[in-house]
Amino acid sequence: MIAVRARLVLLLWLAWVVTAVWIVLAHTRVTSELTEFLPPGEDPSEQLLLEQVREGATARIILLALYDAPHEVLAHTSASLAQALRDSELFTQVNNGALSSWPARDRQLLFEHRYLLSPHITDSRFTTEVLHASLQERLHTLVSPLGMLEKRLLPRDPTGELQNILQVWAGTQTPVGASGIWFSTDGSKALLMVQTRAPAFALNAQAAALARIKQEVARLGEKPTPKLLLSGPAVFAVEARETIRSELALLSTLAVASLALFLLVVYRSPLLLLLTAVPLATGVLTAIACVRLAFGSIHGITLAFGVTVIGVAVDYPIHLFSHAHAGEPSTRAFARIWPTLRLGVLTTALGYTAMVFAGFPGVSQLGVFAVAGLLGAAAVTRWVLPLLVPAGSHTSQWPGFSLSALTASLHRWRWLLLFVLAAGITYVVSEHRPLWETDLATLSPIPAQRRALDQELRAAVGAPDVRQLLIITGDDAEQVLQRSESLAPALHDLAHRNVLAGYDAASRYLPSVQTQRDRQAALPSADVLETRLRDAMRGLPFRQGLFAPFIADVTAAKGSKPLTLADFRDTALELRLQALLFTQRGRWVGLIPLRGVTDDAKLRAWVTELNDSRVRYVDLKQTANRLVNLYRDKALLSLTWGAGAIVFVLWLGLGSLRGMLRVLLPIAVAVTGAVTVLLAVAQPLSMFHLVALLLVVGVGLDYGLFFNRITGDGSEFEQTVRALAVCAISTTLVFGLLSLSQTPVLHAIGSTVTVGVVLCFLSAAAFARNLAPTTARV
Amino acid sequence: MTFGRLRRRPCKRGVAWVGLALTAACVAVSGARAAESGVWDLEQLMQQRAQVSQARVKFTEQRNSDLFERPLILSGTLRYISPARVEKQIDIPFKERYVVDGDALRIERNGKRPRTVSLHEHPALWAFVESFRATLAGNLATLQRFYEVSLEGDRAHWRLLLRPRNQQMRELVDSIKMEGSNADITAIEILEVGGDSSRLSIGSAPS
Repeated sequence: MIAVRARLVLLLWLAWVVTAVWIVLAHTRVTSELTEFLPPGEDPSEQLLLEQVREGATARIILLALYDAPHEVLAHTSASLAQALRDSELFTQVNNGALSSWPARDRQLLFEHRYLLSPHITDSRFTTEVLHASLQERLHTLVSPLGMLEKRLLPRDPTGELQNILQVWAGTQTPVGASGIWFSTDGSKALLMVQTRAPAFALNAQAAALARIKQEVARLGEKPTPKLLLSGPAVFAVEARETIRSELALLSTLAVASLALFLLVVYRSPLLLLLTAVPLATGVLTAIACVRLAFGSIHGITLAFGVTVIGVAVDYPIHLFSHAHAGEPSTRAFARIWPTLRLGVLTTALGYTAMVFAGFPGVSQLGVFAVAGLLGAAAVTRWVLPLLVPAGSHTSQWPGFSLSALTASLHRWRWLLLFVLAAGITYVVSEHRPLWETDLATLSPIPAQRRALDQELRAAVGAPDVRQLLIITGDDAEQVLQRSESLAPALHDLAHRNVLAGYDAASRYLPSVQTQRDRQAALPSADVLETRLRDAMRGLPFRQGLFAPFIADVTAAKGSKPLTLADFRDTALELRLQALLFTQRGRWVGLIPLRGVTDDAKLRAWVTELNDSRVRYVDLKQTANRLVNLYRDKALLSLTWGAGAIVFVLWLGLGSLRGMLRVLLPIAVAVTGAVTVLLAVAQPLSMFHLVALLLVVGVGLDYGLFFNRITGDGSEFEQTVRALAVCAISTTLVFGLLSLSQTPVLHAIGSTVTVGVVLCFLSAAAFARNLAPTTARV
Repeated sequence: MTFGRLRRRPCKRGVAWVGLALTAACVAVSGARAAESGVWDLEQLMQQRAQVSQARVKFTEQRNSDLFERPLILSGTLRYISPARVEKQIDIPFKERYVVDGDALRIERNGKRPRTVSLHEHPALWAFVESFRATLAGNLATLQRFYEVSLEGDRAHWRLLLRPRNQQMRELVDSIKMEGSNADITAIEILEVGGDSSRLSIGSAPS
């Protein structure tokens, strides 16, 4: 009968594992899009931020620097590389400062509409004097070696408007008349700016684009081959992922190896070692499958955080193995500890349940993951594992001395523990250590030096920063463009006063219809132009009648239809415009990315003074920080509810207020202690620490419950202490290794759990009530 | 006279006729063996050009173009410093200077910021520059990279014909013809695709 039931359980478990694996492998998409993790923003600027984060034009910019080769080689490589990258189709924009290699179609569009697009078209553009000066200028160019390249356009464009427009498109930094390949100010680096077609956070596609760039540089085979430096948000993201992956691979290999070695020493059985992994593995599978069923996909952050949070499940089998007496069927051993373990699992799971209802997709996912994972692992430990453990397996007597005696001495010094804690808190408070980390950049795995270099390159090529921008909204594109144009003089003034270095805007490339109409009005009639031109040509060698095409073009432009966004369809130029001017939920939005903002307050004051609800200033970094802090606060709030639930359930489960306090006090000590230690070593708390503390709470509940378990005799208590010691040492091993990581996030999680778990064990032991029988035993 | 009425490395700057005399002597020595065998080919011409380290000569240039009412006449000074620097100083009809050095073409005019253009950025311009720079430097490999090169005539009156290989250059220039005597270039004629042409005649070295 029992055997039949056992088979049924095993069959059910296997069926569930297979189903879960099927769900996970075949139907679960791991997303890395931050937007799916964050709440839908109610503020339009927040919505914009989210989209900006996801695939914003500025986030797709990669800066390239070629260096460590002669100037000529750098210039040549820059030109050939730009061509190769344009041909690769992986990039929507490739710019090395050179104007010459633009697609003919794009040049044609700009040329045909030059009298509407050129910023130089005003009333005074075609007066006799200005025309004369223009023609004089053209003569110089014609005589120069460049004349050969430009002479064809002369009869149609004697005032050089195409060149003026190209200068605008070529980049804000290029001084007029000095077109050429971008170099750093010291001339040692040739610079390029490319924009990937792939969204910024599609890391695989980004990695492919980066690999392509490296490959092309190598393929060009210049001698000597210039060195290549890549920078930009996507580069950082890909590098960070690589760093984390390789570090994680190394550290987790080390962790698994040392954990395995440790458990082998303790259990002397490879089978038990393997079985230790069963509950956690089933738990993780269950968690992923449940998140998939509830949310449709799982976020990479949930996965990483979630596995940390349910790490406590490794302890479950350890309790089972450590409590088995020699020759005793494991089911019987388990029956003894199950009530305690059950209470631990239920309270922990209940604590995490609050997160499920946080109303914040990221936090909810984490909550579902943690609850499902814990319950799954606990169920497997309860019903499946005992069937798999061979009867009679029991733990070795390692180490050969009494651990309960040790805990007894801890108990004597318990008030000292509280005293040390109080002293630590006093120190941290007196030092005014900030509790929360508000700047995410400090957690970035990218060294500050690399970020500084990025800023330098960005400034050199005039690439917009991903940080600050003005957002203009309007009912149509025209309204946005007009508003953008009206802001231009003030922005120039701000740049002049060094509040910012520069800006970009769609209206620089595509003037509003109104402005184009103004320019049309400023164009002289054919008769007037002809007369002025005749006078302007005096003293110059140009043939009479040479400029008839010019007069014809001006006359045509005067009556032509103004250009709109639609005219740029399917050109490379369109992509640039779309990044700056687009519709969003029926509204038109114009972005004005600002470069080199030095005085945030002045800028804010200026925008406030505008008193225009359609113009807003957004600092993406601040907004991103705020959103993550919101995530943290939401998680914290739901955890507070969870804590309340834990207290209540413990009280019910233990049936006594004293018992509950005895379990909770060590957790409070451990959490406060861990936070104090972190703050004392100047590590303000972030979301990552919070996640780590969740694990500490889960572990702490188990420790507290087991230390306070009513046991029959001293030897049973000794077994419990041994079980808990094995649990604590295992956890400390794994997370201690993680804390060695150079990656701030891994380091944060590792160090928090390590400190927290050690404190949990020490204080749970120190405040446990079961000491009397043990001391009696000695 | 000659663009490349030469100052050989051992020669010093001096009055034109000294240079002339020395040049003649040097050419006579270096070319002696070739002269004996009577060979006059591209290698010979280029070898002789490669000996030249510096030169400075006057020029006049006539531009025939339908952009102008009548041919435009320019004059000024040309200067070459081996192996990669060429300067063209225009005095008439206005003062302006173009300097090609390595990859850079610089345009200098009084009272204006010099404008610098990268040759690699403009393949046609680069090809154009190499037509005379590679010839001046006696760099046959570079010349043949950009042009199909053929040589006519004899040592005393040779004509070098360059037909562009580069597609962008071919859209602009039909052919470039250089005339010369011994190591000296006496004229450069450019025939453009649209029918425009120019002829640059090299006069005496300025004293």
